[in-house]
Amino acid sequence: MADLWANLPPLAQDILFALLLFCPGLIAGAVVLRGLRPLPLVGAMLRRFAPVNLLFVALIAVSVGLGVGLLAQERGLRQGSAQAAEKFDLIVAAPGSEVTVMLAAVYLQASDMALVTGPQYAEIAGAKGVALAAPIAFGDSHLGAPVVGTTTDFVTHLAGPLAEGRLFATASEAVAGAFAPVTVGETFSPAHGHGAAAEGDAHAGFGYMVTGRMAPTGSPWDRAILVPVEGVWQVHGLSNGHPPGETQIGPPFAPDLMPGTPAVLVHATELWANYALKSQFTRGDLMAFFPGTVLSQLHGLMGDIRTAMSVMAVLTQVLVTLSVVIGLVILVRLIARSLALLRAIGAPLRFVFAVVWAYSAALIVTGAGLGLALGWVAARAISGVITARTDVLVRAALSWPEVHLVAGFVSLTLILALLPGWLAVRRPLLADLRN
Amino acid sequence: MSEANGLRVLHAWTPAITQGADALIYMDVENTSAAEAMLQGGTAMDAPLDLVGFSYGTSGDTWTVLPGLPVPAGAEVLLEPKVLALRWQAVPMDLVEGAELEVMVKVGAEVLEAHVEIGAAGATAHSHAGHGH
Repeated sequence: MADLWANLPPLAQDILFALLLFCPGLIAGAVVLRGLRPLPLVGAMLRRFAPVNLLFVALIAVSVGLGVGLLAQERGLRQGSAQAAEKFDLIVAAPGSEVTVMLAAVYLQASDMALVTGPQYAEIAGAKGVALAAPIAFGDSHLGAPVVGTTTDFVTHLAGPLAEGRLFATASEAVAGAFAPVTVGETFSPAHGHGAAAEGDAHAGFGYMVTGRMAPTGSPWDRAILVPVEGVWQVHGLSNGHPPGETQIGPPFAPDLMPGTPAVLVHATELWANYALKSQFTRGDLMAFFPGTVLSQLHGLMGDIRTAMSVMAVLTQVLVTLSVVIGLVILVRLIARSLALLRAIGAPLRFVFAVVWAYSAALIVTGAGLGLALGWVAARAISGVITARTDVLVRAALSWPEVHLVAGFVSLTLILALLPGWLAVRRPLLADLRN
Repeated sequence: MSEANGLRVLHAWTPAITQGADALIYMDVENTSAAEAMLQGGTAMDAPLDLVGFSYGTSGDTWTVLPGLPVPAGAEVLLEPKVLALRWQAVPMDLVEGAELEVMVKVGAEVLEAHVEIGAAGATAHSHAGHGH
């Protein structure tokens, strides 16, 4: 049986699991409603007690929406940050913290770092199996956007063909990220540093002209401005990495003239070569790591938070389920006279039971459906805020875990809704008629 | 530790798992010989051990089978969690913490026998991790 389940496609597993969760509630409904037509009466009850019903539906919707939104948001954040790192196969840097280097090179959270020297870069670029060894040199900014020195090959590797204009061809040209605060044709002077402490006039007299714009990547690089690494070196009064008088940009660099770079992105000719290169450059004077590995480890730690969030979502559902059942019991007391009249005119107890259950089921299913929609809207809204603040494209969409959560909630609540029905038919008929 | 012709396998370990799950076996492979040697995988109880490489993306963790990995002369390759491993698919028994497992590792022309220490379930490093030997 376990083998059969394991051999099913993931989609089939998800659908079957959702049905399995929903089955108990469905079976309860089929048994309770078999041979009866309580729906017209239920419709009348829903209309008659509309304000109270709306309150119940809203309570369920908010609870379900909270759980659904939390789960979808966490997954969206995890996937968004993973997607942003997908183009960064292997990073080589000076020994230090992998997390710091990853945050700086992949997510452009600049940090003071030791440099990979010219000879070290030459060794990396010339290693067997290296298809691309791109320097990533950060430290400057413009209007809050990081200005990053690199090569044209890196621009193409990161974002593919440009959405507008052309690649930089001289040390004083730049390519803007998809949402960078500059326009093609504009010339700007970079500030030294980032944030409030950036020195706006430190590089006065040096201007980059924007020649092109990248397509969106869904990463913080969409807000960055990419310039030739030679430009970054020159603007800081360093050698441009080439013999004097040469205006070439891009590799090869003269090892002895290259000022160094905080990080090098390495892309290998074949998959296996990435692992060989990581082994080769993990040594005393260099550090090589896969951002994917670091991210997976971080997300693994976040897994505990995810578990806590899931438990919170389930606990919220349980509390709301209990509240709904208690509320329905109270509601049954409110409509006790109507139910007593029903019994007095000859309705069988099973019919009264079915009316109360179907009425409860209508509130639960409507609330859960609205909750699913509310969760989707909330997740999208929060994703927008996170994307705006981090520049990591977060797309929170509803998926099977949310469907499973709602199916489980609905099923459990439909079974618990048998309780108000049972209490309704046990009420004293005469006393209810007199009241 | 297992050694032949300058090729050594040491610190082999794997986290405890239950029967039917895939085991990921980690180790250090050293090449003290004068020639490059290709790490190609191995066997465990006559079942193949695939050399697999880790990647991470929107769909989560993925292990891809690699054709082999060169271990340069005088160098070592670390098979470590979320980087490289030898994968034994659908192990036929529980791998219990504290027990040992015998596997054969194919490096170059050598087949090295390695004793694999079974660590705690979910362990992310060898029990000697951090030691300087």
